[in-house]
Amino acid sequence: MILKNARVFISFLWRDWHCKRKHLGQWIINFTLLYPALYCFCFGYVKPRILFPNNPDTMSTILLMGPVFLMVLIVTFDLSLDLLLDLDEDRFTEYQTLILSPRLYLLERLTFSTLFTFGITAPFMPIAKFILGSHLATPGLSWPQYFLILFTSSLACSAYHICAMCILTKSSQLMSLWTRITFIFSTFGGFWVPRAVLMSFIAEYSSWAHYLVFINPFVYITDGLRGATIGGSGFISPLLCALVLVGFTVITMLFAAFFFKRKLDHV
Amino acid sequence: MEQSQLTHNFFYFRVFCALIRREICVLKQDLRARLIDGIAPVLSQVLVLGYLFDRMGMSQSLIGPAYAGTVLQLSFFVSYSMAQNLKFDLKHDRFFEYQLTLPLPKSLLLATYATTLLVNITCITLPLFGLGIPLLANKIDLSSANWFAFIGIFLLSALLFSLLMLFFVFRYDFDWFWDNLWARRLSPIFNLSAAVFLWHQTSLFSPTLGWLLLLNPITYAAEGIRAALLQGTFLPLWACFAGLIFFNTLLWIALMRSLTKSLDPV
Repeated sequence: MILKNARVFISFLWRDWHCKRKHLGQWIINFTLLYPALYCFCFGYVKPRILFPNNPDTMSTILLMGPVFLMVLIVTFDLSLDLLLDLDEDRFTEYQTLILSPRLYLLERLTFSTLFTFGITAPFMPIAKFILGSHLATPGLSWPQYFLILFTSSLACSAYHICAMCILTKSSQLMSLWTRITFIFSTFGGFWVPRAVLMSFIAEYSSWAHYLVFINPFVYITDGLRGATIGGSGFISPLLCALVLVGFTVITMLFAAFFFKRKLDHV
Repeated sequence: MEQSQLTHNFFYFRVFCALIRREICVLKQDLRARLIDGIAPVLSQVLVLGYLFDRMGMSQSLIGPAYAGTVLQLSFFVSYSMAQNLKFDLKHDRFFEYQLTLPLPKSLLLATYATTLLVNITCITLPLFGLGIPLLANKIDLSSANWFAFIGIFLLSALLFSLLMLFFVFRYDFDWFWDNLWARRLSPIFNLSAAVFLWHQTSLFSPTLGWLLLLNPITYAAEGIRAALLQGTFLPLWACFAGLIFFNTLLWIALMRSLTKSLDPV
């Protein structure tokens, strides 16, 4: 039984890869060439020098981690979109869940989405470092830690989007997902400014509300990425961030399985 | 003969008005949801630009000009969202094909779409932009604002976004539009414009980059809004009006050509 499930699981992974491979060239051009070049220029070079002339090199790194996170969000969103659109139209998913249990099916989607997103976004930082050189301050750069955070970020964002696609009922709600939920989580998750700055701002208005920042899973992505590149005590330890992101993934996938089952089982 | 032409024109005008009325009815139904969709991005910009960036060393004098760029960011998202709907329609429902059979020239049908987009952008963006101004009241000085110029520039900018998105809708096929438009067109157009950087500061930083920014139509929209609302060194208003009129005309011609090509590829 286990062997049969494993074979089907790998076949589905292979199928997903086969489908995405057709457009792989486009993905590579967009996500490993165009976006890195554009974001390096705007967020890594010009913007910090115009807006923050006193400390541009460190600000380059701080600002650039926002787009890295954004790319992970975009790729995982694109990959999980099929789950919603398919249930709206072809319902090929129903056929797939006949030969693989719904939980394993979701796990397969998660595995593929994580690996693909990690593969597509991994070159961003090496390219940025190559293009910007010393203009990108990375005093505490640890490549293993950086890639660990990137991998767990891909895992967490994949789980987040898979769960969202299982909860949403129609494709017209997608814009609201971005503007009403993802946007707010990102802004309060350190997309623009580090967690410490955000917390010091909130602490001025409330003695306890700034601790709510720690509930937001996106904080561990941005703080982890900044901690792995800038280093220092101002960021949460990347290893702790990775652990929290794995925990978030497990919880989110349990929710996703619950809602997915409800979507498939009409009785 | 002249009488007949006049009757025709009047008839076209009535169909045009009927189509616009229909779109306004649709907008009325969706307006509340769209305004709610837009609140989070605006409040996020207010928070980041007004209260967080200055803690990281950004000059207070940049808050106003940077927030003025938000109006364009919102317009950009609203027009893109509507362009997506139109692209879906062209692929699946094909309501557009029914509209082509109406007794209305193609150019007027396109004008209907452009006007609809313009009305949508205005109804959604302006209230949301206004919402942020009281929240930044002590950080933005609007005492010298020229509101007539602002309305003029805003309408021209909204028209620019409408024409730009319509051009993309008719120029590219569905898959390319969905897979590549954001990465290869919209991101570069928006991120390499004065909506993100201030033109004067950019040209001080790099004169070449300053000149290159002038090739981007969004630069004129962003600088025009700043020049109309705020005190400071921005592109002159007349240059912004001229730039926007020039690019709108150019886009209209390109749009007509791409529509003709998409309807009759031979």
